[in-house]
Amino acid sequence: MTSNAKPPRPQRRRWLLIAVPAACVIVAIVALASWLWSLDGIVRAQFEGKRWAVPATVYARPLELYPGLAIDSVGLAEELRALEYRQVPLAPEPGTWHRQGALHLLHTRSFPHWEGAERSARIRVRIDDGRITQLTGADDGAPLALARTDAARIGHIYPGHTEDRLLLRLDEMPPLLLAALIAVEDSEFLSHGGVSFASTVRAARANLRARRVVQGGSTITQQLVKNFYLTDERTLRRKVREAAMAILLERRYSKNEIIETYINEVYLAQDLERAIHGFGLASQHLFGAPLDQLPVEHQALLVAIINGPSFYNPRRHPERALARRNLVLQIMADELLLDAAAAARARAQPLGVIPAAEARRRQHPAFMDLVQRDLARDYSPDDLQGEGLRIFTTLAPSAQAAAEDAITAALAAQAPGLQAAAVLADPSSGEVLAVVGGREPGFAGFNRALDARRPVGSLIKPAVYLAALQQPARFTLGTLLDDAPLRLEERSGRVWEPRNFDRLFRGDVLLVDALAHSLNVPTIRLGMDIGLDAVAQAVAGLGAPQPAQLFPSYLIGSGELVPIEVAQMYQTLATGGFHTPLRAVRAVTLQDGTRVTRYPLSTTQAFDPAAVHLVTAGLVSAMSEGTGRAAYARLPADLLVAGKTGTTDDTRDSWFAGYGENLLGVVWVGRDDNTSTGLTGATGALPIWVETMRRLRPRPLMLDPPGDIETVWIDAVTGQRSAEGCEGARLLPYARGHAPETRSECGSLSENGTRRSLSEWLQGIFR
Amino acid sequence: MNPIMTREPTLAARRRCAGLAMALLVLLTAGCAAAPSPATTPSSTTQTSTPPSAQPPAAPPSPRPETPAASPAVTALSEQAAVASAAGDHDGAATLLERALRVEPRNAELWHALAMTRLQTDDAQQAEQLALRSNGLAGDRAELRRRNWLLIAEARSRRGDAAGSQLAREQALNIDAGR
Repeated sequence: MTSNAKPPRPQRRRWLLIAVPAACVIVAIVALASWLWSLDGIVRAQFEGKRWAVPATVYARPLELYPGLAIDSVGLAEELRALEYRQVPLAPEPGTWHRQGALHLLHTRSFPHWEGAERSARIRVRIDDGRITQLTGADDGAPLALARTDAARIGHIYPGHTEDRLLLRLDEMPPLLLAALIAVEDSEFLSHGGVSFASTVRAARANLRARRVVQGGSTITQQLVKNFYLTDERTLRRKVREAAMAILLERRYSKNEIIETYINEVYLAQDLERAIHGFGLASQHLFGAPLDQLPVEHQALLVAIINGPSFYNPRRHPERALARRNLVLQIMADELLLDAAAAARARAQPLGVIPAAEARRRQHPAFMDLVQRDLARDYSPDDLQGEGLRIFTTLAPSAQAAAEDAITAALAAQAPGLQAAAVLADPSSGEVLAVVGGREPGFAGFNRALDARRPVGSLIKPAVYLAALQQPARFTLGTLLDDAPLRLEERSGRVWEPRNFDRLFRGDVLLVDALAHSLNVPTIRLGMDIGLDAVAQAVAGLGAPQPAQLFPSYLIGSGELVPIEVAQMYQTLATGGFHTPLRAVRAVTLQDGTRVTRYPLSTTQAFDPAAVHLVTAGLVSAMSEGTGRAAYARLPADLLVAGKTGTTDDTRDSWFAGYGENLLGVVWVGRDDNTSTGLTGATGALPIWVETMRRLRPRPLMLDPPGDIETVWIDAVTGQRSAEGCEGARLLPYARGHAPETRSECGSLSENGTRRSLSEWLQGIFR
Repeated sequence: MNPIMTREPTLAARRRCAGLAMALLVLLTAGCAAAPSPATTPSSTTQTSTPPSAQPPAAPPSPRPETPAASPAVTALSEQAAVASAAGDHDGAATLLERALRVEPRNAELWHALAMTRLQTDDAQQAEQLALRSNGLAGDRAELRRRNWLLIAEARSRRGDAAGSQLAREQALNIDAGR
């Protein structure tokens, strides 16, 4: 190197001979390093993102059991199903129950409710004729005033993405399932460094022999890495990347962290458009039971389908799934995870997969949607992230099931394009008990209960009558309204000649009958008389949004509302004029139980109780003798309810809204493309409402009149004061001091007995 | 929805609540007297004469002769609410009363007791509304209606509505004690 005799050129070349490859190597190393560095970044971001997003857990309301509670065995079973209680004779442990005729033995789990912990208890519940008649401690037989179950977990809220998961910690994973998983998917998991050449070779050989992919050569770590990508591309480049990322992952994280993420991340099934990831959710989806309650053969099936969730889909390809499951059981026996007898017993078992429709029953996407929107008012998406918040909602699983079943059954007989939505609420507290967003309730899609903005038709009429009855000196239930042809000229010069639904005109009708029979023409006259603004004000007072512009057609429901807004309006009617905002959330706590937010009951008197009472009386008449009377073909005659049908032009929308004492329901039936359904409120929505009420058995309306209501006999034709026993006499409630003074001929003969108790009035309408 | 963010009440706030509760107790006791005259009805001086180390606040009312018998579930919950209230946990009491109201939504005594908890947690607006709701369900129970009107009078006076408070007090006095 030091010789000057050599010419400089070759020397330079020799230097180049070393320098170029060296530079190449350096560049390659730098490139590799930066590639690895970038991969490492992806690995970390993806892994942390998957791992540390602790979701908020959402709970249904717990079931409060007390003597007198209206619940039948079906409803109780729905509640316990949501709670994932198992039926075991004697209910020996928490989370089990047993039924013997009218007696139900429940072993509740201890549970940290937001307002205090409840201890596990074994209780005996006797149900007779849809009501709890006896509640006793199962061990000492002592009568109980009240018992409370744990709260069913109904879902999770994940910031950032909408996939549902049931996250499990490693220590919540059944050890046998974990061992089987490793034995079948990656037997060297505990020793390899991310990739396993031995298993890759073994898999390649097996696949060659079978001439198709029977064995995946990927380690669990590699499979996890594969999940970081959205596509399932199969190129060599991708394989190399994945292998590198698997090695990086193993260097960064412990085996425990990797397997814990895997069990929550692995793709196991598809439910319509919803991908089922993780063992927790898959267990619920396939077996309707929590993972820790699965027998060996179910655990084996979960491990079996990892290899090809679509190919081994146990609902679509039960034979394949069964064969693969039994292969897994064989491997488990070979690896001494099971003794031979247990393996043989498990092999003899059927797959035990529940139907997909039943699995979807556990999903309440429409209600969850409402919860998320309610929470969005107080929390940013980030607040819900990473905290592991516990969200206690108002969902009543038995009410949700009743509404879903009623809609599913009613629409099964109808054309496929027909849709429906329902909202159930407890009017007194404003708690939303159930939300159904479409004919496939388990399917998250367009949430019609919250988003289908449709003309409400006659559902608006109670607001018109309320606005009128607020002026008791001018309007009473016995006021005569004019039901003669009407011609209205709009400012634009267009002429509107509204008609009644049956296209008949009746001359003079009592105000109560115009409401009960939902007559358009007298309602429009009445609304024009008191003014559109007064009606819009009543609508606002009831809690629904007002329209931007008011037209006379608003009086018969051209204004559009979504079902939950209708529910809010009727909530205010159902509580005698006390507006109580509908709520879906009771409280939010941190994971450790520290209370973050409570949503207390709040109420505001929006109307004079007497006026609202008269409207409810009119809506009771609608049910007993008006447009809703078909309800009593199915409802018990003593179940006094108030309600209103609604039908829009060309029968595009079929509505029903109504309430008993402690249950309010709004049902909409229509089509997403807004075409005709051929159904009226009475033929479309009403039967669904009736079926829901029939199952849930609300308490009948009490209709105690406020202090300033009196009931008097009037003449049904003239509206004049009459008396009991007179021909055409009717008993109607009036705001005190506003009953008619002028007496009919018969009425003036019998001065006495004109005032009657309310119960007599009720008997009158059920004559 | 109207969230209540939970926070630790300050000592001063607790004292104020206790003081207020005591004043209410006095007020209600006066309201329950057979024939209250204007002279014996305490004025709306809520925070003056009561020492800070006051007795436990007024518990939700115990059943009275004119009150229809509540179910065992409601009785159990209202008793717990009374205990919570006595310990100064008015929000806890409200929670229990809301549970009881889900069992018996037309129980006017429960609405009254809930109104009381709102007054004690400085929510005079809701206290008044809940008392109005209690009145709507009270029927001809004169004694309960009088207590509601006195509570409303107190709530209005706390919101600085002296005239409204006076009107409510007159309503209370006008209720025929014999009914």
